[in-house]
Parts: sequence; structure tokens; C-alpha cells
Amino acid sequence: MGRYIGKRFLHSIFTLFIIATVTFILMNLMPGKPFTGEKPIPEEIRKNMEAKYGLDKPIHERYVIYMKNLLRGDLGMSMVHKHRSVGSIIKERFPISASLGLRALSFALIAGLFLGIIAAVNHGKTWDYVSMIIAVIGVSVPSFIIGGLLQYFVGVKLRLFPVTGWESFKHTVIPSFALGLGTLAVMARMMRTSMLDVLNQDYIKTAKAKGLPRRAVVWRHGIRNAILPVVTILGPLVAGITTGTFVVENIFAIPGLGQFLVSSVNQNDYTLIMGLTLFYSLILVTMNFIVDILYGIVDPRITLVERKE
Amino acid sequence: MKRGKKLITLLLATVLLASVAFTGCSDKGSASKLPTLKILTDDSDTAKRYAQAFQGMWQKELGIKVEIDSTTFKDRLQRTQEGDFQIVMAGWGPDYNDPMTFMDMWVTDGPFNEGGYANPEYDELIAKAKASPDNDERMDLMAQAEKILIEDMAIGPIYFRYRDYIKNPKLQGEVRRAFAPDPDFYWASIEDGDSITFNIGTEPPDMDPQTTTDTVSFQLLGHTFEGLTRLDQEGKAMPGMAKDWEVSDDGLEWTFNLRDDAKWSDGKPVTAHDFEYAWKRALDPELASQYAYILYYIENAEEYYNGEASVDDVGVEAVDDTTLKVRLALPAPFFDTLVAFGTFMPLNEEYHKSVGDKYASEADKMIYNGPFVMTTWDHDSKVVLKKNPDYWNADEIKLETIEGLMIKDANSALNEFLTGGLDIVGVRGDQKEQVKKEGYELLHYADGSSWYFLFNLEDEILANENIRKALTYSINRQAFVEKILQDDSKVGLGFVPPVMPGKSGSFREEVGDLFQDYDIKTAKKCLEKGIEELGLE
Repeated sequence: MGRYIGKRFLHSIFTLFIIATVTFILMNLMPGKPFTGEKPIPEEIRKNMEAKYGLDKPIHERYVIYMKNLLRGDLGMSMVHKHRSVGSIIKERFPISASLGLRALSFALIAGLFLGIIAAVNHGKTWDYVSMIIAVIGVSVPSFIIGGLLQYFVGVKLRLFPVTGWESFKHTVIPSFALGLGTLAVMARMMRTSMLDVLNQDYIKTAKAKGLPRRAVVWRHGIRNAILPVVTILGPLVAGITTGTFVVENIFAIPGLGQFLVSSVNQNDYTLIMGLTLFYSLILVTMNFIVDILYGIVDPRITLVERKE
Repeated sequence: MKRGKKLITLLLATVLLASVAFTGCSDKGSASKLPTLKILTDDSDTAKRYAQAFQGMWQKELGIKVEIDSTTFKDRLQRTQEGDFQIVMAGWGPDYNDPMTFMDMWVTDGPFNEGGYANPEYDELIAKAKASPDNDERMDLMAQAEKILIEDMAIGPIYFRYRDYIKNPKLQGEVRRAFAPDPDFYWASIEDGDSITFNIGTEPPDMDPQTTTDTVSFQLLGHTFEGLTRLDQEGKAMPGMAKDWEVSDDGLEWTFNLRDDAKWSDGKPVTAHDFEYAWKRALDPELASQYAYILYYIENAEEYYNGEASVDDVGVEAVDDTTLKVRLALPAPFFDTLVAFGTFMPLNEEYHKSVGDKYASEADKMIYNGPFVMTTWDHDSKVVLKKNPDYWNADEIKLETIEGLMIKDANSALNEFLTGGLDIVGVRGDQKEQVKKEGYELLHYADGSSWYFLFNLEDEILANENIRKALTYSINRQAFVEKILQDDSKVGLGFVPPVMPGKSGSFREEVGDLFQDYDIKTAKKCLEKGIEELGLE
């Protein structure tokens, strides 16, 4: 186990290094420059500004400087938010995105799995159709439409929840719902397919033939085996949903990381692009690692350690 | 979804064209000899919609084929600045309250002259206007220069932007204007209360007065800081930190007399030294301030920034604690309004050294001298401004609290307003119907920007004046404003917008329109002539 973790750790470092390098190169190939503004800047002023941020140096020199700083844990200062370091932006904004993401994910997981299981168990009956209609709506209606509609009808017309902001529990309800709905649908459909597949297996028939109660069949033999594919996508899902989502955060004016993922690219904020990409990659790599470990727990047949002959 | 939107915009453009009165057969025979032109635009839906409208008009009225070349926002700016374009729609907003903020853009090799316009006659008129301390004479010279600019069709005017907004009827006295701070709540009050909330839209990227460049930061600085002067409701200079000021006859030497009861929010007095320190800091090449150029009216300012003069040569000097002497390189009769601009705000050297690099990074890493102080700066979320009890004119300030929320999405902001979470909010063209249904009165104001076609004069085809004229004359501005912009913008038949002052009233009104809107007859003649001159027959 220890050796496996060590190996995975080295792999992860290498992955992050590759990501950092590729992002650095692609970012510099992107059209536009950080200080290109709506009002053109006189030549000498632009030169001074570029010199201040080291942008006057050739790309390979800048790459070496960036990597050296990165090793020291220094992600640099944002080029647009002049007084904020990339580290502080992530430190301040990530907890909010993570909080929103985890709320949405919990809701999606619980409701999604429930709908999926109900649908599979009642295959071809009313509950199956109800669940799948909800799932189809969730998959096909984008979050900005759901978010906008909920904001207007539940927020403005019914005045049940606040329209924007992130202050109290009440503020979190609509955004979490809007963000979670799509994931809920994915979960429900996946769980239903996987569950149907499992329920047709011979061992389920055996369990039934043994005279086990239906509940025990579904719980002990059905769900445990059917949940594996869901666990697989959980890793990337957690990474994606907790590191900020632009659309929902934008509609509800939630001060999370999402806005920076988009604005940093639009504004050619090089240091912020690098910082956010690496941060996202780090979370993704970590989550995938955790999922691998979880596999072993959910399904004891999967083993992480290579057996020695 | 995106595809659907495209289709709708295309349809819209077609409808617009159909609604435009048909003016007989255009000479498509000659136009087809013109190679396909390209209009550069960014890839936002609005920008593309505008470009499609122009594309349609040119095709329909003149038979000219124009391709839409869409790219990212940053890339459009970059390519415009590098001269890698043929036609692009561009806009310019004023830095200060004088037509010169528009007119000196187009001098030969000027930093903002992206089209590459060069006319010695124009340059001379602008130089003369800059050297003249006499306001009427300056305005006459600038009017002549503008005529030449449009006769040469260096740029093709389209419209002057006006914006719509709604407010809580209890809110009174807010001032909307073309410069920061907009909206200005200096004179504002609210019935049965003393606190208001408005939408600043985004996190202020940089609250350091000497380096900042964006309207959100300038808006907040306008309320929390005060320069030597500040702008009154009409945009004229009124006493601020300076209780009065004198100008020498040649317009070059300005003496500002500071009030002796002005205080920073930490209790220290505001002195002339704070201004000298701040202004020289803004010009420090090490600081690399983007707006350093706005101080170039001061003697040796540009030279210091470019390393050709020392900091001691810069024409600003604190004679004593309450007297600031400024020597200008050129007479600028509007200098008293210029010093109300954010970059000219004072900074206490001692305080600045004590916080160092952290200056302006948080609400408590700044000291303020304006009518309000910032007490909360909740990054990416909101700011809270509280009335400054030590402000010299505190008796006139009626609001106790101004809260600024950061809601980027225009529909969310409107929804927040409808639930009472905002007291004032901007309204987009497509939101007007909803707002009217809700029973709010739409209010308008000029944001001071002028929008125009920027032509690349170094391009083979667009170097031809008649081609540029044909493109400009053939646009139906009235229809564009009504059907595409759907706001209260005004048709632009000159470059300087109506909000800029002239001899006594508005520069635009005094000078009048410089050509006729939607003049197909002349456009066609110009096109034929242009094609002939280019030898494309």
C-alpha cells in the first residue's frame, strides 16, 4: 500500500509538472496581452508595465523564473487585481466555491441515487417514468436557465429566498439546487442503468431464490455492486463542482472561484491562469487518488497492491 | 442555443434592413469590383450583432461585401493597436470635461491614433488650441479641426451612447454623468432613511488612486477621496481640498490654496505636500502607472516619466502646507476639472511608507479624505462606505451609509432591484419592456462615449477617402439606434459628443452636424469615385 501511494504521488507530481508546462506555453500563445486595455497605452508606459511584471523577458526565461517560484510555493501576484496574490485569491475564494459545490453535490448524490434506484426497482412502471422525466429535464435544461427562472419566480415573485449574495443558509438554497440539478440527473441515469444491469445478474436471482427479502436483495447485493460506476465519476465530479462554476456563481453573485476561471483567461492574467489551472489539477489528481482507494473499500475484488508471485 | 441566437440576430438584421426605406437600385455593378472588406469585432453576441447590422446595410445599400472577422476581446484590442484590421467599431469616453479629451486623439503618431491618420493642418489646429489660454479661441480651433477630421473621414461617426436606469423613487439627488464618479451620491438623500445600496458590478481591481484605471475603482475613490477640486452637478470644478485657486494670465501657472481644516481619516491634516507626493508618485516610471499620461499637462511630467528629466524638474511644488503651485507645459483652462480626476488624489507620504506594498489592498490599508470612508471591503462581494464625520463639508452630506454590491449579471441585478435589494440599477435595451411593466420610470443619461468606425488608413482600400465616405454615409444611424441598440443613444454626426462643453453650452450643438445621416445618394457617388481612384474598373 505504502509503495503504491508513493508511486501514485510521484506520478501526480509529474502530471502537475506537465500541466504547468503545457499551460504556460498555451497561455503565451493566446492572443492578447495582459495590459492591452480599452484605452491604448502609450508605448513607453506599456514597456514600463511589462518590465515590472517581467514580461519583457523571453518566454523560456519567464518559464524558468515561474517554475522556480512555484517550487517555493509562490504563485505570484495577479496582473489584473494589482494588490492580490494568486495564493490569496484561491485561499479566500475556494472555501465558498467548495461549500456551494459540496451542498450541490450532496443534494445531487442523495436525490440522484434515490431516483435511480427507485427507477430501476420499478422498471417500466410509473416511478421509473417520473424519475426519468426529472432526469431528462435536469440533463437538458442548462443551469443558467434553471437558475434564472428560480431566481425570478422563487426569489422575485414569491420572495421565498434572497435573489443574490452568499451570507446565510437561505442564500445557499437556490444556487445549490440550480447547480446540483444537472449532476442529479447524471447520477440518476447512471444509477438506474447500472442497477438494472446488476438486478439481471445471476447472483441476484440466486439471492431471490434463496428467499432473501426484497429489501436485502436490493440493498446488500444490488446497490453495493451498482454503485461502482458512480464512485468512478465522483472524483472528477467533486473536483469540477467544488473549484467553482462560472454560470451559477455569476447569476447569484456568489464570490467564489468560478468567475476567476473565466475572467483570468479573458484578461490574460497569466499568473492567475497558471495558479488556477494548477490548483484545479491538484484537486483533480487528489480526488482521483481518493476514488482509487474507495474502490477497494466498495469492491474488495479490486486490489491496489500488485501481488507478488 | 448559440446557433439559435445567431439565427435570431441574423433575422433581426434582416428585419432591420427590410424596415429601412428602399431607395432605388444601387449600382451593384461598380461595387462588385471592390474586394471584400473585413470588419473586426470581438466575439460577444452584442458586438457581432452590431457588425451584422452594418454588414447588412453596406451590402444592401451599396452592394459592398463585408466579412465579419470575430475574435476575442483582448485580441481585437491588440490587433487594433497593432494596425492589423480594416474596419473596427470603436468607442472613446472622456477623461476630463473638455472636447480636447477627444480631439487630441488623432494627432499624427499620437498614442491613441490607431487608424494612422496624419494631417499637418489638423495637427497644427490642435497644437494651437492646446497653446491658447482663451476658451472661445480654443473651441473655434477645435471645431475647425473636427471639420477637417470628418471631411477627411479619418473616422466614421456612428452614435453617442446614452444609458437607461431606474431607481427607488425615494432616492433623490443622485448625479449621473460622463465621468467618474458615476453615479455620484454626494448630494443624494433617501426618504425615511439614510442608507442606500447600489450595484458596482465587479470587485474594484485596484483602489490605489495613482495606478488604477477602471470605472469601478474611480467610482469608489470619488466618494472616499477628494482632490483639489471636485465636480459639481454640472461637471464644473467646485472647491474640494483647495478652497480657491488662481491662474496666471498665460494660463501656465496655477496656485491652489488648500483649506486648513481638511483631515485624513486618521486625523492628520491634508497638506499640499500630500498632493506633490502623490502626483510625483503617479509619474514615477518605476510605478508604471497606466494613467500617468493624464498628468502630462504638467511641466516636465512626460520628460520625467520617460527618464529625460529628474523628479525635481516636475512642475509641482508644495510652497507650504496650504499652497500648491503647479506649472503647466501648455495652458489648460480645464485644469481645475482635471485635478478632480482619480489619479490626482493626494497621498500622505508618511502613511504610505508605513503600509508599503499593502497600500490600497484592504479597506483598512488606506486613509481617506473624502465625504465617505470605506469601512468594509468584502472582496468579490461588497463594499460599505460610511459618512466621514471629519469631512470639511460633512453638514451637506445626507447619506450615512452607501453599500456597493458586486453583481455582474444584469438580469440578477434587476431582480435584486425588484426585491428592494438595490436603490438604483442600470437597464439594458432588452430589459426595458419588463421594467415598464413593473411600473418604473426609465431615466436616461449620457455616458459621454462616442462610437465610430475606426478605419485603417494604411490599408490599400481604406486609404481611399471616398471609400471611407461611402461606408460612413450609407449607414442608417437612426434605425441602428432604434432597432439594434434599443436604448436612448443619439445619432452621431460628428466626433465630440453633446455632453462636452463648448464656448458657453454644448460643443456639439454649437458646431452642429458635420454630415447627413443615411445619405445614400452621396454615398453612391463617393463609392463610384473611390473605385475609379483605386483603378478597380
